Amino acid sequence: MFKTKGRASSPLMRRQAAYGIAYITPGMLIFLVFCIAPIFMTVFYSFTQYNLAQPPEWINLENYQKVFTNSQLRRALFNTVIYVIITVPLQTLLAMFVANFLAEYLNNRYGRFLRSVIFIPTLASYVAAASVWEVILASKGGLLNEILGIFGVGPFNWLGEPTSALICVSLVAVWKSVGYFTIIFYAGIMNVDVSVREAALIDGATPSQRFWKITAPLLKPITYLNVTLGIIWSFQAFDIVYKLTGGGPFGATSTVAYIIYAYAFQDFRIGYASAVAVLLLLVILLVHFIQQHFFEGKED
Amino acid sequence: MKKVLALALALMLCVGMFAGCGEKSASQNIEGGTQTSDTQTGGTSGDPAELTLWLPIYQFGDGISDEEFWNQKLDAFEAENNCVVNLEILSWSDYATVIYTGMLSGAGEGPDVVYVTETYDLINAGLLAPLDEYITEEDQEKYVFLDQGAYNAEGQLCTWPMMAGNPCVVFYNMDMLAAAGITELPTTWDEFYDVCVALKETNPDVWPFIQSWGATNGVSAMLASFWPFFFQAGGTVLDDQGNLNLDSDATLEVLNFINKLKADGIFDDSIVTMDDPNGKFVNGEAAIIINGTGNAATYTEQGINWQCSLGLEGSGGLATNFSVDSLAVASYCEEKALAADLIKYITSAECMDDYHEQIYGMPSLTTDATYTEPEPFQSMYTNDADKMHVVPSFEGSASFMDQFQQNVQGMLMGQLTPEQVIEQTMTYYNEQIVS
Repeated sequence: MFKTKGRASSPLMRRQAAYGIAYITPGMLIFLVFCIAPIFMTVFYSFTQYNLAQPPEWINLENYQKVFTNSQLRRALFNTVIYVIITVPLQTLLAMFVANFLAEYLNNRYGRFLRSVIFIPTLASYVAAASVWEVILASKGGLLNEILGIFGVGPFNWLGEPTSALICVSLVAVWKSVGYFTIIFYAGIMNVDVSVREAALIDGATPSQRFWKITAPLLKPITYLNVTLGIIWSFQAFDIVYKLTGGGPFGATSTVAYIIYAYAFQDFRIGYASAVAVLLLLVILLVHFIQQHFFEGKED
Repeated sequence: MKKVLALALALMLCVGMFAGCGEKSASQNIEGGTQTSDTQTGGTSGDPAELTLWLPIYQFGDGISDEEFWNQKLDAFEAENNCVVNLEILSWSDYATVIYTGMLSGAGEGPDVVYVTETYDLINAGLLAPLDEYITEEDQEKYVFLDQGAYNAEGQLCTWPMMAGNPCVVFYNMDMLAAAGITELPTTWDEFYDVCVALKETNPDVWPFIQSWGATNGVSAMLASFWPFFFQAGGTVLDDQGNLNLDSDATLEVLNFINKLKADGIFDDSIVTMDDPNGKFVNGEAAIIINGTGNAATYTEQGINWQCSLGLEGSGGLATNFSVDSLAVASYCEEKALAADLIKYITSAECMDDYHEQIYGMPSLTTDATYTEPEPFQSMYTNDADKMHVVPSFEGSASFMDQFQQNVQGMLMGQLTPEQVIEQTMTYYNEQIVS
């Protein structure tokens, strides 16, 4: 970026380049030390037996052999994929609709208030959010069952049944994150040229047409960002699971990130946990490439 | 000028970052704890010997701090032994990780004497020195829980109990029992079952007996829900060779009993969720709970009319589990005899009587101690100490217990039999956990 190809750089350009390098060095060092180096260290540890109490011992692919035959991990990976499939589309679409509603119909003080309200769950810690939902979803005396009971429905053991537990955990995650994605979508919509929307309005486009034909296509870069972040964060789901179900019942909500935590920080099987982490990284990269291809394909 | 200033700031950031990654100085705070070395000694001969002592924080109230307490106590030891003890009080946050990495760093960085909770990896890595040669006959007579420390493969004692207690006992809400016409506490599993049935029939809206198979992790789930019954069934966690011994008749007996309680409606479906069982007992929604004795004060404060028994009699007799955390000497310590003396001093009545009064109440460690636990617990420690068992540390214990908990959940949901719980857990343990 500092040197033009095929042209000798001038002293001015060299000086500018030197300044540029100097400016970005602290940031780059932090990035290298705290982001890049740990990735390489994780890859290295994944080939070792390491428990913090002894130096790492190189064991070739033994951890990976175990990882691929680990039924618990297979189940966690399956749960994680289901979790991603539920949360990412739901939170993305919900956020997009809410943002569009706020921008189109509530671009006033009420809308500003509503934006703040929607954003509140994002500000709450996962532990606090999970504690609240624990009370709501409790099988006996839980708020949801009490309300359903008024209509003669239930009670249901929301967190005690495998299917409903995973769905509940996913929905709580959507509730927690939808505010964040709404704000990003809202900012994107407000950046859409007003004349485009006005032209559609004059041409007699219905609200549905305006949303699907105008707003949604123009929000594609924002959608790409939100889907990417959503997928990455969902694959790393841990806090909400840890607090709400502890991975149960019968492993129905255990996720890969939860398994990594248990292996690494309960048993100190750092090498094994690293192998799982590398596997998770590869899965996320694979999904990301598929997603990138999908979005690029649409653009073409 | 602006550019020069910006460059200088960038340089400072880089230098600061490298400095941050540098070696820890002797006076640096670590992991939320503090180091309180008053004196640093040189390495020349004739200087007093130096020991580094790592202890966790136990003062959770407003009283004297751990640091202040131990500094006062250690003055006498330092004067008597012409040595310097560098004390570090650690927070409980990531305690085991701090200990592991500290000890792996070795002499100069890690502790000479350290408070340990998980011992398997440390002993297996040879990081804890055997203490047998420092134990006298007098010690064996005086220290009540000495044999509850952790041993290495050669059968040598490597840890010296410092905090032993909080056994899991059975708490009963006596008002609920009285309402069901029960006046005497059950003593056997069969009697216990009958009491649960009677409670259920009297008041179907409460939990007669509550457990926590949906706890955050297997260690927490098994603590009060499995281990007391396991020891009552005569189970031993490790066999004579130190191998895991949980695919046993005792395990099966316990699982069958738990399964029966679920099948007969003593437990409901919420037993596999994270509903707080202790909260239910405190709120008067459950009649019986097995929990650590440390919860008794809360029950009293909440106005629960409770009584408790040490446990039930199973096929192996009356028993329960309790917790033991210990002190250990690092194998790289150059003053092992002095370190062993320091451990004896810390765990002596001279220190622990005051410690239990001022910092954290626990059963006394020595026969000459004057501190007593409130009743009925003091009587339990006096009369039934031999019925309290510690769950020893073993390889991959946390993962094993997670898997066991998960499979028990499957059993309670009707998807696995007790035999399958044992078989599947052991298969997983042998294939995935054991190195």
